[in-house]
Amino acid sequence: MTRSLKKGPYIEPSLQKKIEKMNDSGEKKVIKTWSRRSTISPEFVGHTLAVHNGNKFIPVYITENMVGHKLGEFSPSRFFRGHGGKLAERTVRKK
Amino acid sequence: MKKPVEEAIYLLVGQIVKPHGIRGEVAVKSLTERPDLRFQPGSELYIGLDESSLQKAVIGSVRPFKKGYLVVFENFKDRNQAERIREWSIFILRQDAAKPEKDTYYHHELVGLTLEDDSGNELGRVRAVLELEVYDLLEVERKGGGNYYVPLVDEFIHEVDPAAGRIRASLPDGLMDV
Repeated sequence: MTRSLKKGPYIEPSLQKKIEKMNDSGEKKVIKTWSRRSTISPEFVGHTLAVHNGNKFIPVYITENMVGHKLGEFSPSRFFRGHGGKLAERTVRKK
Repeated sequence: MKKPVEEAIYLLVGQIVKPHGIRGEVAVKSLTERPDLRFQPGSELYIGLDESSLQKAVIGSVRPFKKGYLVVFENFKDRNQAERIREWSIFILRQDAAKPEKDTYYHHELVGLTLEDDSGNELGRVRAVLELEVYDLLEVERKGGGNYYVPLVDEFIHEVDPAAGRIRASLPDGLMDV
């Protein structure tokens, strides 16, 4: 069952407070959070959050198209580390 | 300064899974972004268990099969010969790789580069490139040990220069400490 609209999106109160404080001061620093269940709100855009994946913190740079998703979606708990040290013909793009 | 571009001689493009049928066909799993270019009749590839024991192999015929291809290599035309190359890897020469588009880099071009801030101070060395859905991450090894991750986005990464062996970046406060 989906979350009741009446309640609004869930955001960890301490995290929201820190983001609001940074927005007021114009400061940009990385905030560590364990709250993978928090929904990304428009106030988060442009900030970088270090979201815990159960093992370490993965930096998540928040962009507009992430709004409405949960933080945990962008901090994978498993990484594909290639083919036993062999380099594949694969590219990455700077976004 | 390490220039990783010169170090990788071969690039992995596929993996032979198993022989298929009695006519020398092998099932191949593609690991490249350009399978149309690599898996076509006449393509010259290098096959072997690892990069130290490669032999040249030319594709005789190819057809799609499940999520990969069924390939016949010209030197391996029956089931017995195809059995010999079971689980071998398929490579191309690095210089045969297609030229990437603007702001696009091969993994081997980035691995080993030095990450520097805008004033030229070393921030670490790229150890691996991790592909995520939204953007990719550089795994950077700190000078004093340990790693941290840097998103491959314009906001942080200003210049990537594989020829000079460096990446210029400006990282937000605290990113190196997480």
